[in-house]
Amino acid sequence: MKAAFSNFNLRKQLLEKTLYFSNQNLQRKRNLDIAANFFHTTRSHCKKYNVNRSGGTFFETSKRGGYEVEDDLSFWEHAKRGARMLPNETKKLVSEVQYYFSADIPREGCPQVNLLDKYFEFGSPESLENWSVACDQDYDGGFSTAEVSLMPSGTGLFSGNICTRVPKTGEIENSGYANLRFIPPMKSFAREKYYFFAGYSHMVVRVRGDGRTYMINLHPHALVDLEWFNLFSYTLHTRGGPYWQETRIPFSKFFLHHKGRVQDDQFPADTTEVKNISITLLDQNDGPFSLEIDYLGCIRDPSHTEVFAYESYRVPKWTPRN
Amino acid sequence: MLGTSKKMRHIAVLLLRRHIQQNFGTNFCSSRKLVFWKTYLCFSPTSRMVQTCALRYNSRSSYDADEEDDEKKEEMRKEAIQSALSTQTYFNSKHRNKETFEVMLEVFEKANPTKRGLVEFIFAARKHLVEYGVQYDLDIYKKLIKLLPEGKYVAQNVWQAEFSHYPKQQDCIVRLLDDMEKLGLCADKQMIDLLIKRFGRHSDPVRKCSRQIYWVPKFRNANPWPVPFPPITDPFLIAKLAIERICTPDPQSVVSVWQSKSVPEALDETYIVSGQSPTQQELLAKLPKNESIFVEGPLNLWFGKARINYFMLRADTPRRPTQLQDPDDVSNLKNPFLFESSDIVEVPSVHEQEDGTILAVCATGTSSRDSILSWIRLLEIHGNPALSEIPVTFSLKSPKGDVTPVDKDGPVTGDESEKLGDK
Repeated sequence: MKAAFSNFNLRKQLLEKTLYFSNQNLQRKRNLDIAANFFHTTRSHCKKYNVNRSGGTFFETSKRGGYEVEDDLSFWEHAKRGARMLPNETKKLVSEVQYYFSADIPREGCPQVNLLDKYFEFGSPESLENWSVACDQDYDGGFSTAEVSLMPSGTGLFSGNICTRVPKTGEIENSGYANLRFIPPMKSFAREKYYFFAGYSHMVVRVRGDGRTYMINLHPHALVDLEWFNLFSYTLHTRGGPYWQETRIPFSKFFLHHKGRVQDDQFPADTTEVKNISITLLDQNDGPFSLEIDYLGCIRDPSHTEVFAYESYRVPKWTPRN
Repeated sequence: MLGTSKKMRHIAVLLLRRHIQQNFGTNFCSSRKLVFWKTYLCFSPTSRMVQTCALRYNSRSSYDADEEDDEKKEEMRKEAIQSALSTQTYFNSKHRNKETFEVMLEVFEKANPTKRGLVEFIFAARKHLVEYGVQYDLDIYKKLIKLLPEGKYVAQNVWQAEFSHYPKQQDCIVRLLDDMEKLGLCADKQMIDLLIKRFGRHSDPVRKCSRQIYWVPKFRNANPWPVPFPPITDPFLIAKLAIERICTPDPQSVVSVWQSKSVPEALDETYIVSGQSPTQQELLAKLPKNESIFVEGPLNLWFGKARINYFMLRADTPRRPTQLQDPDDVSNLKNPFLFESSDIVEVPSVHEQEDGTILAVCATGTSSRDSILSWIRLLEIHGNPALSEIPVTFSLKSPKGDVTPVDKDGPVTGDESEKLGDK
């Protein structure tokens, strides 16, 4: 076969190369995390309007801000489930250790220049299990609906309907949101795994939207309750129409907000430990939405030298930060 | 005689107290009620307070109305005043526009020199901003803020500033500013000055304002496909701008506006906004004549707060053989110094995507099947003669309706489909 050096072919080759790599990665991921989804498939229900919701205390009582997920299992059932997990988790641990000693140096820290690495993508019906959808209706906080499905071309479709009607419970002032979240794989014994994006400068998203403005979120690794509800976000504007768009968002542009309120004291997102990513729709427009997602990846562009896009001067003393 | 008038007054006071209690949820102390009523009842003690106020307004405005427009406006004002006073429910006037909204604020100011129930009034006003169509008007927000007294709520020392002096009033204004922010409005210098006079520099509303001035312009100007602000409601203009936005990937694209009347057999008369580039015309001309192309739609497109339906002319893309290469494979290295001849492949245009070749897009006034048919015929006339030979398949869903601006409530009914069904 004679490869052509035309522009298109080069681009295609690059794309295929990344595809090849990401396929390998996917396979590796699958081998490592056979039981990763086990933790997400237990029978559970959500406690609505819990008294645990913060307010009135100086500390946060729960990581989910009162929207707890509780399972109905008794003590013995828990013990049984734990025992059943044990062999699988041990196997996983062994494979992790094996991988640690056999694999090459991790290449996340030094990505090739302008070469796309796909991290979050669709492709097979099984890949839908890696994504979870949430909307206000799930927590009795509104009437929006949302779902994620697979298109025949192998891309994911995040669609639904946004309704800004506020339920008359008196608890909520605004409603109408939908969220698509990646379920990150876990290490053995349900230890959390973090993505290392520090080598990259941009997040790359290839989507086909409907003209609405979405939001891309980076979930940071939060240790103390002060930062549990921190989120780094940036807007994802979509063109709408039948054409695909490839958007590059610099990591320096992501701004910090806590429980949905943009903070005065801004600092850049810690890309060495990114727990997760998600896409949110929050524009107060009633009606259907659809966002076709090909992939979310990262890229290193050495010409981008910006560290943080927002002013980070010292706020005067005794000024309340919030 | 004196006794009856006293009784009347007493009854009126009781009635109005009940109204205010019900509508504003305030229960005022008995010691202050006399002060509250003295201001109205001193003018004409026998008639009800409502009447006096209205009469005062009438007498003032009688000689102003010279032209017809002014007369109309005056009538509207009178009606608004009546609605504000006679039922003690504000924001219930027949005409709903900026002027009548301002009348409500005036009446409140006249009727409440003590500013009682001010927070509740502002909360009520917030609810009716959209109804009166003043939600994008910064002046109205300023006027609402001006209702607050100057200097009263300013914190006098550090402790008051720290522990939120007059928290209800501060919270009320913060919510008002939050409403503005949600719509994309931003405070200005004048508004900050107003707030500093009322709450002092170290207060929540002023801080909220300064945050707004920092963040809102940043996000408002972040959109690479900008949308006019405040939102436009003209369906034709929205359709035209939306189709222009769809066509941005190909800078050569031409957006043309046609009337469906120009097609002889057209049933409905609407505008057709069509977008096509010369590249797309070439692609269309090259297509095989025996394979059909498809019209797809109606598809959704959001343009700011408005949603429109658009249609797309699409052909199936011929499948290219995809070969996955192993970049680590070193068995077949190329020597760049041999100048081996290589295949030349044409770079596909942006219109040739994996799931089809996009040939044209359009939006019509009615989104009906008939208007789409006229669109295809107009395309044939305007530079696509190949369309007369290529079979076109209409894979249309039932028409949903035309452009629906956000101000209209509910979807437009599919009258067009019924008409077509009858014929």
